[in-house]
Amino acid sequence: MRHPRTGRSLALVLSLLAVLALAACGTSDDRSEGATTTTAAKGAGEPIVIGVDLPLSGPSAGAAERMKKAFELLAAEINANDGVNGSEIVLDIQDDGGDPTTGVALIDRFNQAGAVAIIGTYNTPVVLAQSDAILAAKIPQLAFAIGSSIGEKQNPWVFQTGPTDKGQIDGLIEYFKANKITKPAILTDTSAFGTGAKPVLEAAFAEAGITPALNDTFAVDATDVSPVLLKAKQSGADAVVVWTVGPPYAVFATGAQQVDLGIPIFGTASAADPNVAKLAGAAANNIFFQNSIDPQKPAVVEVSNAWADEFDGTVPAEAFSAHDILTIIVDGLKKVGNDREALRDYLDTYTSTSLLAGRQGGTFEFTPTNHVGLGGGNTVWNKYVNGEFTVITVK
Amino acid sequence: MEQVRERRVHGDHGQVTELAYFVVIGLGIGAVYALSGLGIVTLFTGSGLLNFAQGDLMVLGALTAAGVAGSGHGYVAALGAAIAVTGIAGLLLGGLFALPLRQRGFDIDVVVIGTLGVAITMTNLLGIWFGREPERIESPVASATIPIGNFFAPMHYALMLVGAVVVFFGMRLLMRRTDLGLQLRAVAAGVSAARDSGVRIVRMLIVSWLIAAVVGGAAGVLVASVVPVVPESATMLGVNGFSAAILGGLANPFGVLIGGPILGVTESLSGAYLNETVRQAVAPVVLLATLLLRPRGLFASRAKARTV
Amino acid sequence: MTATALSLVDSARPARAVIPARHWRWTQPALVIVAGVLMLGVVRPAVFDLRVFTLVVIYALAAVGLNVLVGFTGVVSIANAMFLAVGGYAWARLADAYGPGIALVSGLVIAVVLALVLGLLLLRLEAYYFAVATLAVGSFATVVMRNWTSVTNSDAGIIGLGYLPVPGLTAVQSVFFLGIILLAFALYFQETLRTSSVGLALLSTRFDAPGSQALGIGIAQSRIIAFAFSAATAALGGALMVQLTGGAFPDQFSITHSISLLVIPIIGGRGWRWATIVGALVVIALPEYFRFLDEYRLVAYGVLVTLVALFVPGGARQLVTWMDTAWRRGVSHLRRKTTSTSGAPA
Repeated sequence: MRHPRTGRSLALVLSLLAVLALAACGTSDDRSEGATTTTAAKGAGEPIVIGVDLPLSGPSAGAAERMKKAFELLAAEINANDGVNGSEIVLDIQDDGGDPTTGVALIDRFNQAGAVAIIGTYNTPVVLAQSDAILAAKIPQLAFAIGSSIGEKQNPWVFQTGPTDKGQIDGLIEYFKANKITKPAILTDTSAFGTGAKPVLEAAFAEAGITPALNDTFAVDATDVSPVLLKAKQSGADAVVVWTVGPPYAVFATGAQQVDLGIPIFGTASAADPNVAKLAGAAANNIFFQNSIDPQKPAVVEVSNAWADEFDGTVPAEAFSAHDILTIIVDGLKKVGNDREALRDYLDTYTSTSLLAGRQGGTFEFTPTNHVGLGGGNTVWNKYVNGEFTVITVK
Repeated sequence: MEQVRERRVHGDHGQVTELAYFVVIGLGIGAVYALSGLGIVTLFTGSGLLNFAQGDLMVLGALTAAGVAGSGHGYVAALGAAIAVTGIAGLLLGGLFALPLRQRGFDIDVVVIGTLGVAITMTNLLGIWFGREPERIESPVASATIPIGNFFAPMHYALMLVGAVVVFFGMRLLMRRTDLGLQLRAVAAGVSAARDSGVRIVRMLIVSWLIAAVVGGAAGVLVASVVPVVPESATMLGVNGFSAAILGGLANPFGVLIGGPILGVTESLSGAYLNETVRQAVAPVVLLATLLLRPRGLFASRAKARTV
Repeated sequence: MTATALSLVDSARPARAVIPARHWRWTQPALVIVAGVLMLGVVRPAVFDLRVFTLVVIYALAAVGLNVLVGFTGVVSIANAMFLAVGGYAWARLADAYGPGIALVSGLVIAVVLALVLGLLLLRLEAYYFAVATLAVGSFATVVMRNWTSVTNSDAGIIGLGYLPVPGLTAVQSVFFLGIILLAFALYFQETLRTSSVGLALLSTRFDAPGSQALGIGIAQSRIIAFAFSAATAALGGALMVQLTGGAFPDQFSITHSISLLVIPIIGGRGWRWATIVGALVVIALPEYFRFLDEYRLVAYGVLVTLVALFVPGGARQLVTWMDTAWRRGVSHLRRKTTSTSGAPA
């Protein structure tokens, strides 16, 4: 067999040339796709496509499924009531699996499908990754991820429902100051959610002059959190801030009983997840959080009664959020029609006092410089007592 | 705002009770890892297969039981239902994996990927059938706790330990006192010799799957009282089961009953006294360390693990 | 397994019949480049479709080395997303500051070194132990990615990444083009390896390990070379992946991605020269066009993997062989029928 020397040296030379050529190049950041995108069809009677990006597989699947159901329910109601100026709305619901690569690809997919707007998604890293693609495709996006880093990119096409982590943290600090809590323990989960919030928490507390008694992390799928709660207790903290999403609060509730914690736990808005009460039962006690939904608001009560059967009795907070999001988009479509730019301009100055989220009398508002609809103060403090949470009055 | 109650734990007595508390928690969780590992070892000795779908079988058991218990039928009925359902799954999977064996004797590396495929299929099917909300089963010893100093370990952790021991002794009885067990051990010792002695290899493969599935199902039911179970929990349970199995030694079911608790206690103590990052790294590091230093595991029996 | 080894020994066919044709090392890359140019110039797919095809090219590239590992040596690795991550984060951190050449090469070098170290430690284990070990290494790698904040910025990720621009092409087109070029290179190396003495040594370790050991071939060393190659192609793929997405996050390099990488050569037909391209089309492109199946999409994927692993272990290539055999049988059967009706002996 011939010794493939010539072949090998040729390959080597080619590779070297390639590397040298590469070394001479720079990188480019320009991701505009040129005029290949189409604007959505404008004919009346043509169905209007709205892209919905949800993490339907993976860790956030539970919450995503609840939102999906709410979107579908509301879309059916809207279509039964003559749709948008006679045109039917069609939701193109796709799963991104929490993967940024898929999320970015979905933007192109929605673009190709002629979507007039994109709703989603839940995970901050995915929304961050999608930012350039959204800018290139020029489709307005209404995301419900709560990372404040999204707003920092100042993408004119990206809107957030809020409240962002910064908004919730500001509300938290306000509560602490009013109730003389001076040494909180800060616990964040090790997923993107907690890791993204950690620096925001640290900065906000530093600015407010509050020194945490403890700053630690825990795993989202931890079977037992008593180690980290014990550390919090022993650090002399007077409150524990636990930053995670939904079901882990149940594990914290039982953990608090195991170590006889004695001090209150403060959570994010997702502590309203019905699974917390379901999994922890009466152990869910002495847990405070800011809910974006006020259950006594008349509009909320109305939707709650209408959808109670669909959600086995209790309509979860995410369903109300989904209701709001679709309402905002559809209101815009009714005013400006099936036009991406016009819709974006509409959203830039959107304000409403009749949405489900927010306090009674509070305003949900977008401005050209603020794309977060629910501000930090526009939430309602709730407290878990023996497995149920209720609104509490705050100073 | 409630007053903060300060409790200081000083002195050696406090340290010891704290340590004891974390050891108890670790033993409890370690018992579940041991059961997960037991399923893996059983299937390995009976068929030479590494089961990457063991975690999914546990979740299947857990979610079935949660559904039954949620409809008000009680813990025992839930456990029975879980065992029945996972038993059927085991038979189906065993039959499926027996088919290529019948034809030509399988190429082991590719069949291992088959269990990966089963894991993917099951995780997604479980999400579709049971929904993606986390489930929990009320333990029969629900509100009882074991007071250790100032801490309260849920009694269920003790139940998990007891459950694991019961299952293990059941397996031991099966292996040593029944003809079926004898045949399974013959297959583990050497396939061709077993075949020559009249053991139906294919049948033993299916039985191994059945046992692995049922053990997994029971383990899943036990763990569902302390951990919210979602289809994705399969990964964590599977990886820890593998670590326990490798640590104890794949050839010997007894090893996993020690390997699991060692793993559980190490994780618990790492989380308590070091930090979360270390705790998350324990399972993979223990597994790798075992493979590097003592690949046959802590309790390697003299009989060689079946090679294909 | 031993049946094939015996046939190799018994039949004593000339080397030509056993060693594949050497022209493939040039013709295959050429075909790939031509196909790529046609895709960009003639087919001109819409934005989303092009993105899917780019991802196909990226995965096909990343899996070439794994195809060699699984196909030539029979070793299974569930850790290769780790090497994707190395290439990806190397690009993320180095490309803007030091240029694309340095970024790509650094990623490649770090990945290869990592593979050599891991290989030296772990590849002396029996094959199934190694598979479990890679599962553990993959889990551990995820922990590292999440916690090594100074390099990876943890789950918040690194965003705003640049790509290597090709004049006259858009961002995605540029990444596609670079992917095609790198894939051509990787395929060249794959084919050269196949017909070289090193490659033949690797193949013999898969089919008859004791026999090859008797011939003096170091099993562990051969496997380490293959493992290092799998790391190299994965690192290149990872660099392209972050260019395509514009960001680098730990969620892009999870165990799910390791499994996808592994499944690609299995479905394609491990060891076959076209395995990664066929496999990537099935694993990456099909699910995107099967989204109408909704939640059953991933179930279908899992079922496909299981069925292929159990019943069609040779992957797509085996299907091709079956069809070929069935065709030949059909043709010869027809021929026999026509000759027998005409009275001549069959």
